[in-house]
Amino acid sequence: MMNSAVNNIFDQKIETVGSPFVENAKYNIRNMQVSYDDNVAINNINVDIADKEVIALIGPSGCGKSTFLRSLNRMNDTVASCKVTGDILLDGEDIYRRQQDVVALRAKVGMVFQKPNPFPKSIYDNVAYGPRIHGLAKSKDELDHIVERSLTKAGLWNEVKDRLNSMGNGLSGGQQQRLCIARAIAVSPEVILMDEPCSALDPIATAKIEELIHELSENYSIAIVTHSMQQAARVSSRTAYFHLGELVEVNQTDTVFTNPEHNLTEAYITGRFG
Amino acid sequence: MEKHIFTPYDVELTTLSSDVYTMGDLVAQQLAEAVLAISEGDARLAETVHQTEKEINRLDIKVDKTCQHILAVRQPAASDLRYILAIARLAHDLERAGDEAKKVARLVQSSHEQHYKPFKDGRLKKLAQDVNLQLKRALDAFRDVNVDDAVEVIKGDKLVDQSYAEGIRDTIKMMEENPEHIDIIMDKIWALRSIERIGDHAINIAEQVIYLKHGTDVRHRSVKALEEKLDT
Repeated sequence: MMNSAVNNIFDQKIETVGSPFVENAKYNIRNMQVSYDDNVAINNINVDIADKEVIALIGPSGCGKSTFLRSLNRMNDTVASCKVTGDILLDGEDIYRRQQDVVALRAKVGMVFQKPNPFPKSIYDNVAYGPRIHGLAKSKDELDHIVERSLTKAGLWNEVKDRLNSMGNGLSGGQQQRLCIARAIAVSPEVILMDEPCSALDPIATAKIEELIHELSENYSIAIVTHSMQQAARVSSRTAYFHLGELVEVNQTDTVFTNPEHNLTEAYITGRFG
Repeated sequence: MEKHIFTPYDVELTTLSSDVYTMGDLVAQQLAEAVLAISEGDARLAETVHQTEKEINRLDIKVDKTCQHILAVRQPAASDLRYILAIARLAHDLERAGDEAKKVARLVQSSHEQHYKPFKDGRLKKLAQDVNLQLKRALDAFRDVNVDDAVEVIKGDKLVDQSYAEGIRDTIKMMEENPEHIDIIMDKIWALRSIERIGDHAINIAEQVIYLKHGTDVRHRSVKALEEKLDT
């Protein structure tokens, strides 16, 4: 497993407490380790992500939660020094196997980032981009339908239906983020990864995204990284606490915020260390 | 417990606990003075109890406001959340206990006006001492987050109940022997009942120790069910 050359800061393994495993797993993650050159970012990660659940990933900056998230659709492949080991199974299949089509994986596992990043294209083209390159629409009517359905699911249709040809980056920050969510769901993903999707948004735009997450959870598995404890408490059914690259606790969100099992979780969510 | 990174939060929590313990001290003082007042027919002491009640009410509102502020602004979680909820319940129980002590003090009027003195037999004083001890142990257990001591307080209520029942039996006997003083002997029953209720508030406080420590709500359970729950 671990390369002896790797700078190992994990001499004392933390056993994850709580309920990291579920019966209806979408992802099974076992003995996961991610390192950048000689530095181990996360280690000994064992957890499931359930079908159609919202799981919040919390922890101090640098604890590895974003690294974990980006490994779930191989976004870390773009980092040359990054090495991922262990088993990361999506619907029972190893996403790091040699024959895995990464483009297809990223269509199945969409991602929404901290800063809204619409393409410098029209609202329509932002959403239509994915279905076009994946050949999901056989006709213009079908593409129109996908665009309308995706914008509706993202709660944006009523606000933009009369200006679909306007530039996507001309929308407000909250609308841009919902456009990015529409773009992600246009290719019919099964999982949506969100990396601090509301950190640049005001409370109203944040509330709309959170309501959207709630609605999307009926059809998608969602993993969301957030620094807002209240957001994690509001939107997720389970919460995972990362600490110095290890997964300390995974529990029902209600348990984590009222009576966490691990004292590190307790210390973090009560603001006793950062 | 380590301190919060944001230090004003700790100041607020310390103020909260200080106010609640002050309420506890005032209730204990009230009860002792109320029982002494009716035993001696001391109207001035009874008025002191009434004044103390006003201070308890003031602290009750202050604690409530601080809890509201912390819930809204600090958005407490985990042990902090349990602490705020428990403190709010403690303040409510202590305020109610203060009301009961005031009810006892009010009986001075009737005992003062009549020659017959049913409050002199010492049973009220003994019950009040036992209840005050229960209250003190419950608040100490809360301060120390000591579940074992809290369970002992809950078990101790049985003795208070027994003492109350004996007091009621004595009082009924007094009525049989002194039917012309039934109205004032009834006051003794009210006093016994108020003191016994303060004992119940001490139990409520002890139950909050268990909630604070384990996050388990043990209200409305028998002692046996409580022990079974704590064993699991």
